[in-house]
Amino acid sequence: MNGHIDEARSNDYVEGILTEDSTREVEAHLAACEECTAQVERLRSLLADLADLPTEAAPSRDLWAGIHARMEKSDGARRISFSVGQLMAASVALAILSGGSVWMALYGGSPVDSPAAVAVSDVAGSDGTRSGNILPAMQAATTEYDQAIASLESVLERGRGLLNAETLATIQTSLDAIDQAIEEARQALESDPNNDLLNRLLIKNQQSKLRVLRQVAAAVQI
Amino acid sequence: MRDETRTLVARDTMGFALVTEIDEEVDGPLSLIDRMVRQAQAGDPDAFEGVYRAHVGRIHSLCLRMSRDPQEAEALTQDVFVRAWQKLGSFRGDSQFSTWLHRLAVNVILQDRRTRGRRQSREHVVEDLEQYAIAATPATPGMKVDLERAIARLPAGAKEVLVLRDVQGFKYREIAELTGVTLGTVKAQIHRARALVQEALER
Repeated sequence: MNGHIDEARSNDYVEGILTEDSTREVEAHLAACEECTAQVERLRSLLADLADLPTEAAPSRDLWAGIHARMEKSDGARRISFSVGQLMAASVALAILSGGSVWMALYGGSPVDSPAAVAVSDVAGSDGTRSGNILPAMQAATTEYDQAIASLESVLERGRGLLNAETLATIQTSLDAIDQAIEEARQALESDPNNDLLNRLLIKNQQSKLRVLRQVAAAVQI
Repeated sequence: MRDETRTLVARDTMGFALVTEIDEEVDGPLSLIDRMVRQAQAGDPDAFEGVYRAHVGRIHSLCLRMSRDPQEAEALTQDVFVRAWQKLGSFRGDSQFSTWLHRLAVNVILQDRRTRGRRQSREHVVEDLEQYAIAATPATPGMKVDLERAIARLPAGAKEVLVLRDVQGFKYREIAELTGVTLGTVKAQIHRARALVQEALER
């Protein structure tokens, strides 16, 4: 070794993260260099003192009351139910984000490739009026979509090993956002199961998920 | 199947009743903290109070050392536990709860620093460091006030990484993830921070 041990090397040595060869080199140098030995000892002592500092410090007052109050406020905010309009707006954003033609399928009547989606495209206007005759078809459609989604999810599971971590993370983020939208629609439907806007909303979110899964399935089956 | 479950009634030091039903066939024996966390995840604020009381000392110590301002540290401590309550659902038990909570605390502290950093300098130098030392170690003689003072006077970034690595025991890789900088940069910052502390102590 030429010259003294540099800062990075002495730190790594004291922390025991040098390779065996480097450790031997450093120790050979230390055996002959008082200056570096003193430097290493000072560092070792500092790390021991730092590790020995207290890691418990009670606050000067009980903070629980303030925390509890904020928890209740936070819970209240979480319990706020979304209006149908808010849910629909959120779904429009979701549809745009996922870059799809779901909105067109629902309201513009563009061709779609599943019986369920055809049923949805027949739904009356978007003014929130109920259309009792179409409701059973929409509810059947949600079941169909659930089955299709489950099938494609199994393809995704089997194909996970073919996708890199970054791609998987992107897919998961998209799916999580869509799943949340689906869950919100389902929760809203629990209290108003015959609301056709909510039923369409659920289907639209399912379609978004289906589209993402189709892309993934196509990618992993190439 | 009912025989496979048992109802545990525990009472923590603060005296609130904690009732959990545990399927021991599935979970095995759980510590009191684990049971409180599970109850809290189910939405029980009393159980979360137990979680808070079990961890507040360590979390407040971390906040105090990273901020060096008692009022700000208490505000950060509150933020950490409120965030933990909101995020409890994401704790899957892959790591110890205390590890999960410390990571969350560091995120809250760093996020707060980034937010405030855009508005004002966050480098506080608290002259009354004895106040911190007394709060930190009420029963420990020979407090290392000089060392605390040297840490407090480090630049913000250096102080963060030094505290995380050398006081809290985070791994270099974890610090790099938490702070969003490269492993090499983290190591260089820590080496520099140690050198600055040594210089301050030798003055």
